[in-house]
Formats: sequence, structure tokens, C-alpha cells
Amino acid sequence: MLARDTALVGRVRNGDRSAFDGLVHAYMRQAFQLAYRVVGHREDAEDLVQEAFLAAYQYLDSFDAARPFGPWLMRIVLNRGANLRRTRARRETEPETDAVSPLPSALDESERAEAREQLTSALATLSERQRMIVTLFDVDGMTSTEIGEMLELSPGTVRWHLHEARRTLRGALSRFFKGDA
Amino acid sequence: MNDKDSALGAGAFGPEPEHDAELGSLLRAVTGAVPEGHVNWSQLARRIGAVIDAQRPTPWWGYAARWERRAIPLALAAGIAGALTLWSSSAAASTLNTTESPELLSAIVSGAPSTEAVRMFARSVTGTAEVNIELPQ
Repeated sequence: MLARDTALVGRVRNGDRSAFDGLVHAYMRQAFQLAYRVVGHREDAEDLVQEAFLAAYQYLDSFDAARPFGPWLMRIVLNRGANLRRTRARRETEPETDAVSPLPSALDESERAEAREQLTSALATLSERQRMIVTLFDVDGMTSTEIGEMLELSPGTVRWHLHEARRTLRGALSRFFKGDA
Repeated sequence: MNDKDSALGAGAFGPEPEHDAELGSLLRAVTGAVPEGHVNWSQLARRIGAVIDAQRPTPWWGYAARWERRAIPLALAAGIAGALTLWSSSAAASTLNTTESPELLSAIVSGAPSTEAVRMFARSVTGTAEVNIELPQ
């Protein structure tokens, strides 16, 4: 992957604009996944992905080609996403209806509503970084190494944030978990 | 290893934790799954390519290519107009050259009356043998 990225970046730097399409195809989905987690809206996420790739193209000369392209791009997504979220604060940030998964079926309707409400409140008490980490890890199935590369954190630091976030969330939702008191 | 790792070891030093399916399910219910199925990936890729192309600085040959559709007919029209101008001016010059200018010149130099000089000049320009000209006194 690194060799492929290095080759593509080299070609783009030598004026082969079409080589950048290879990078777009390789990282578009991952960038969208992260962008959606940052902005919480599909169209905004697509805009953010577009903006991030454009910025990556414009600043490609400052990129260290000895390192993988993906984490660098994801950091751009995160940075630009924070700006985009501020400027589009008025737009609906609730997840799209068709993207919402059902709550565990063991909960009845009123419990689900309550669990959702408490989880939303508990998420709000987390730092943005912890919220991002626990979501990327437990919802999107990423590893601590992958998350660390994106957020410029060591895997150990990611695991610590994950531990703290889970502790907070499980504490707030203890009565909805089977194994918790 | 940074300070946070050393100060707060719980979770940081252990092996990679398992994904928490139960918490993940609850979180997914609140945050929503990433709607990847709703994204038209090829269209998004094209959009990204288009916006990059639009932002790229245009090289000089790019400007030439952009203007060639208008520049070629304009250059052609300007060339034709120039050629016509040259042709008409050379035709006028040749008309003047064919005048009897030595005769006119010698008449003026020898002190011919002004009416005669004017008549000769008019004849040389118009080519008409006799021109009635009344000069004011």
C-alpha cells in the first residue's frame, strides 16, 4: 500500500494529474466514513471528502512521501471537518433515518427511547476525541492502530481514551446492559 | 510513549481490546451507521476530479487551447481585412501612378493658369477628358 501510494504521489508531483484519481479511489470510502463521523450528515460528509482531497492535492508538495498517504488525508478530513461543522452548525445533525440501526431487541419501546436519550447525554459528556474513538472502534470496527494513525496518537493512547469513554458510557447506561449491575 | 500512557495505564498497555458489540449496537442506534450504501462513489470520484481540475493553474498552452476556437476565425477575419486594405490602397496608388503627373508638374512649374492646372489634375484623377470647373474669383 505504501509503495503504491508513494508511486502515485510521485507521479502526481511529476505532473500526472490522473494518478491522483488512484489515490481518490483508494481512500474515498475511508475518508467518507471518518467524515460522516465528524459531521453526521451524508451530504456534508461528501462535501468534506471532496474538500479534503482538494486540499491534499494542493498541499501534496508538503506531504512526506515516505509515510502512508491515508493517515495524512484522514487528518485533513478531521481538521477540515471541525471547520465545516462550525460553519454549518445550522444544518440538521441528526443521523439520517435510514442510517439508524435498531436498538437491541431485548429492550422494549420505552426502554429504547430512554436508552437513546441517556446515551446521547452521556456522549455529550465525552470529549470530542473520546467520542470519535469509541465510535470508530465499537461502531465502525477500526483498530487502535488505525485510529491512532488518523488522530496522530499512539495506539496506547487510543486504547486509554477508549477505556475511559466506555467506562463513562457504560456507567450511564448500566441498567440497560445485561452484564452490568 | 507519552505522559498520558504512563500516568493512566488502564487500557493503554493491555492488548487490543475486543470490540464491544453491546455498546456498539447502542451507539449505532444513536449515531447511525455510516450510510455508505447511499453514496454514489463513481460520481463522488468524478466530482473530486472535476473540482481539482478547476483549481489547477492553467499552463500557457491551456490558454491557447481555450482561445483557439475564437482566435482562429478572428485571426482569419483580421488577415482578410488587412489584405483587402492593402489591395485597395495599392490599387489607389497605382491609379495615382498612372496619372499624367509629369505633364501636370511641368504645367505648374511653367506657370500655367490655376484653372488649367486644376483641370489637368482632375483629369488625371478621374480619367475624364473634360471636366468643367468653375473656380471662384
